[in-house]
Amino acid sequence: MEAALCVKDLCKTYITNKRQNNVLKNINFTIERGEMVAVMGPSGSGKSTLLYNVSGMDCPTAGEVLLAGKKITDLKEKELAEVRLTSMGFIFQQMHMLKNLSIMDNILLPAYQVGKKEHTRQEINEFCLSLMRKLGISEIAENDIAEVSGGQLQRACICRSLINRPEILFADEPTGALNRSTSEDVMQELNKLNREGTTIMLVTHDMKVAAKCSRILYIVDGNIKGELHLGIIGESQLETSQREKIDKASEVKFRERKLNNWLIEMGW
Amino acid sequence: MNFRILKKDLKRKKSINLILLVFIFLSTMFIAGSLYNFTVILNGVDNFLTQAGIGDFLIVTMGGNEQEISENDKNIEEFLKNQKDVTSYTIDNILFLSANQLKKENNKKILLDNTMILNCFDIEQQKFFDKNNQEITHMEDATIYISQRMAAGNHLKIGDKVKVCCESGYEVELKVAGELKDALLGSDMMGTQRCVINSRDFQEVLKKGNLPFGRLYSIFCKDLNAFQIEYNNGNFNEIFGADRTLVKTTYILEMVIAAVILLVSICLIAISVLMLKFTIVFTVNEDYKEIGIMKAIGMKDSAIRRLYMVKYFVLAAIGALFGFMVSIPFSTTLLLQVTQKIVIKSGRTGILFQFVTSVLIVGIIVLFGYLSTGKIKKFSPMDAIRSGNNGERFQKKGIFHLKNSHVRPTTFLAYNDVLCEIKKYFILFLTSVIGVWLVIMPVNTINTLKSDGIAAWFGLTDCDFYIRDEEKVAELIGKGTKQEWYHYLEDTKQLFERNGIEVEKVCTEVYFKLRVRKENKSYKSFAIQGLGTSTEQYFYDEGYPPIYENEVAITHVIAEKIDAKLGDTIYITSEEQEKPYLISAIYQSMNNMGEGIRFTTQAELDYTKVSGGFGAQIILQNEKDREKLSDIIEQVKKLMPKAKIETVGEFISGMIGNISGRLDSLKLLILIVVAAINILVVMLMQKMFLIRERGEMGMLKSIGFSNGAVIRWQTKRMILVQFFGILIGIFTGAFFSEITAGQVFKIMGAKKIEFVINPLEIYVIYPAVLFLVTILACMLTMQKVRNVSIQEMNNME
Repeated sequence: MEAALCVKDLCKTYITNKRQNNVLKNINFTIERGEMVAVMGPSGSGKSTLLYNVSGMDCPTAGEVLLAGKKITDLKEKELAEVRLTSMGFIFQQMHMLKNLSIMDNILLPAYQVGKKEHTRQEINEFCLSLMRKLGISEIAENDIAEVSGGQLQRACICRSLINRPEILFADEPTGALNRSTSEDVMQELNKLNREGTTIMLVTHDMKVAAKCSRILYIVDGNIKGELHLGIIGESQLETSQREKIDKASEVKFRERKLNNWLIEMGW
Repeated sequence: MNFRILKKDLKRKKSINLILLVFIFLSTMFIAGSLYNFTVILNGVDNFLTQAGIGDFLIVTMGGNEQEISENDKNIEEFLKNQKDVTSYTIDNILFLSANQLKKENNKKILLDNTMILNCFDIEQQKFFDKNNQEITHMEDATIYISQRMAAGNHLKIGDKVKVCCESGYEVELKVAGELKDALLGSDMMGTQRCVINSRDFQEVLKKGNLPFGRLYSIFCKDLNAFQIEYNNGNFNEIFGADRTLVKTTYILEMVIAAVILLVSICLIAISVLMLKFTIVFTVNEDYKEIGIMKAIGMKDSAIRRLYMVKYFVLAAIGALFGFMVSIPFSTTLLLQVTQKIVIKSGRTGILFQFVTSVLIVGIIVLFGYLSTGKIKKFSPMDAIRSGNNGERFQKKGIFHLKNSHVRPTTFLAYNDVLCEIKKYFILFLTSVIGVWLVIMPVNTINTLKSDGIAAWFGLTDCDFYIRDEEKVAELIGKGTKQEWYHYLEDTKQLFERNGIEVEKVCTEVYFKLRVRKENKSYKSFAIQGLGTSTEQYFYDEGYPPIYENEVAITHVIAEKIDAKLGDTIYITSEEQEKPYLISAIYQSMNNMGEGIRFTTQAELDYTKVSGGFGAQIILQNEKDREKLSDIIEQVKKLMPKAKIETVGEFISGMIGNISGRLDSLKLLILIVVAAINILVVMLMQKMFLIRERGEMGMLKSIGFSNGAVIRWQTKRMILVQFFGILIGIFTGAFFSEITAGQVFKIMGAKKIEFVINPLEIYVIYPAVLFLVTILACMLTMQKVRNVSIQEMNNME
């Protein structure tokens, strides 16, 4: 089975004022299906640039990106738009939605835009409502975007990113604009989605968020400096005897500690 | 510091500042140019008549000669001398030329619709002007200034030779010195035309040519109405007698064109003002962030406001300067349409006027800017973060829901956007509506003037073609009996039948100028007696067609002049005696400015006093022949080489001037101007949306919308606004035509106007042209969507 995402020799260079700035330097990594990978690193290390380039939101200067075996770096704009529409979801730090549409309409927009109809609008509407129920925002379906909280809006953005049943979900600081408790909720939802089979790649500064991922990539100056496997939450690579001893809360703490130690090693 | 911030601002927000600059430029050009045209055109014809020195009342007589003037002229002169209402008057000698007496260098006949008057260029009656609006103050020997119609109809240009060939055998060759702008006879609606030569040549033609002699009286009065009553009671014979108002009315075409230009100008001013306000408000809104940040770092409101005022002043001054420069040729181009026949004062005053207007526009823009930046006080540093929205200010937006819709998402987004922010699209909507009005009005006017039904408006019966035979009519007038007219009709019918053209009817109308009176109100009116026709063949607005000898139908205009109504008895003077007639019907006619009295065939009128006629009207017998009408007309042309054979449209064109021809070119000009304005408005608005909505575009791209889909969303929005604008424009266009062109027709004498609407043109072709060009412009502008990157969604409000 092909990997969900395969990145080979990825480079990104910006030229500003005739000066060349190599933001990503020969990045190589693979994300298997069902994985939940966090990208961490100091500010300006190239995390978001990496996410945008591997998700086809931006064009890399060199290298290859294979999304479910499909080389997206060679695609034309129209084909790339199709990939963005049908094969992936993206959650942004800022909750960008159209202000003239209700929450539900914003979520439905990409689904209705799909050219080839596999589902009727009725089915899409039902699926949308089920997603909203799952993320606990079904009661705000008819609201305008200005009438809901940041957390609800971010969940709506998650719903929108999932409406076309993507194979992979990208998230750029998905909890960056949220308070602690809302962050926890959003991460719970992402973990739930991951357990249900959605591959997730996210960029975060937040150790608590990263600790809920199965793998962490640490990036410094456009290079991947190291990676840490934490395993899927709830299925940590602990001895059964140990597992029996610790509850779920302790597992999170354990993962956070492990991650913290590793990050210190990395120079965080 | 302020200068540095300003420089940076102008550089950084290049696009939006450029759009504002373009709008200031366009607005200045339109407003300065149009306002000037407005002031010039409003009294254009009146000024021309005054400039030329046209009297309050004008009389043209025919008869007698230089040595011995006619009895009629003696009587008129005597009458004028004794009139207390006359302040002064002038008398000039004139000669009459017919088409056969004018030839080109190659001896080819010069085509004229009517008689030509020849007089000196320096007569007392009026001044003459050349095509360049210069008064003619000197003429070389053996040169001639010809009428514009004569020049156009015979392709004569400066330097060509024209020969006057008199029946006495005298011939003189004259070189064309130019075309005349003649205040009295220059309008297309005046049947008679005029040429001028110098005094030496005129005296020679007068002595040797033995041409029909006449006199031209120009009278200035204290009380024109009192004078006219006295004059009408005088029973004088004249071939033309009219007051200055009637002369002015003959420039109806100039007035129609002037009215159209005025309307275009008013609409342009309205659009410009709206667009300017929209752009300034938009620009200030774009500056929310900067204003918030400046406040956050402690700048005072007044200091921030000053900064923006300097910016708007600089932009306004640059835009207005360029706008002023272009407004001069712009206004000249529009005025050219109206100054073909009349002289309009221009020169430095115009430029000064436009300059002052441009300065005022700078002031208005700065004021707009000042008022719009008043919001600065309300902005908080929070606005810097949220681009002017604090979240709580959002109102309930959507009326419709995507989940319930059955259209494509781009279509839904388009109409949802328009419905949520109607104010934003109102200017575009208004521009479309006005644009359609401006295009529909001349089209409806032209189609109405070109339609077959127009014959009824001119009090004519329908027929297949007209025979216009000036020589024959002159001969019949000379014979002076009704019987001769009937013989002519019979001869014509027989001639046709001998040549295999089966004719159902040959008829004609004979014109008189008769005094009509009701109680103490009298008027000398144009009157018609149809021969070979029945009064039932004509259209009447009220009453029944005159049947008996003592019954007449009169037009609304005459009814008003003498204060008469249906069923009244009026007195008409013919054969030197006043006879009573009963008004059996009221009708409308655009002939002779709405004047008209229609007699029955059996009414006894004085045929020695016939003032004119055209020849004959022909109605063919077979429908089959009608299908090959053009072939038959060609055949008749060969049978009657001296006559002019014309279709109904051509005949009416000859009567009122080539209205449709000149409006046709104006129609095209307006279509181009309107389309250009629509394109500009759409492109600039779209450019603004492209700046304002980059965030939304980036966001849509991020969720999988292709460039094409984003372009479709934006274009559909424009399509929707344009579509409804054009639709409303179409539905209200007829009303707009009625309140504009309809008024002009009313001046011409038509009381009830039913515009002939060509559905294909009005509902399909012209709206489609406007629609397609604007949408194309929108799509081309929106190609820039390709440059919007997904990361720009971070600029979303």
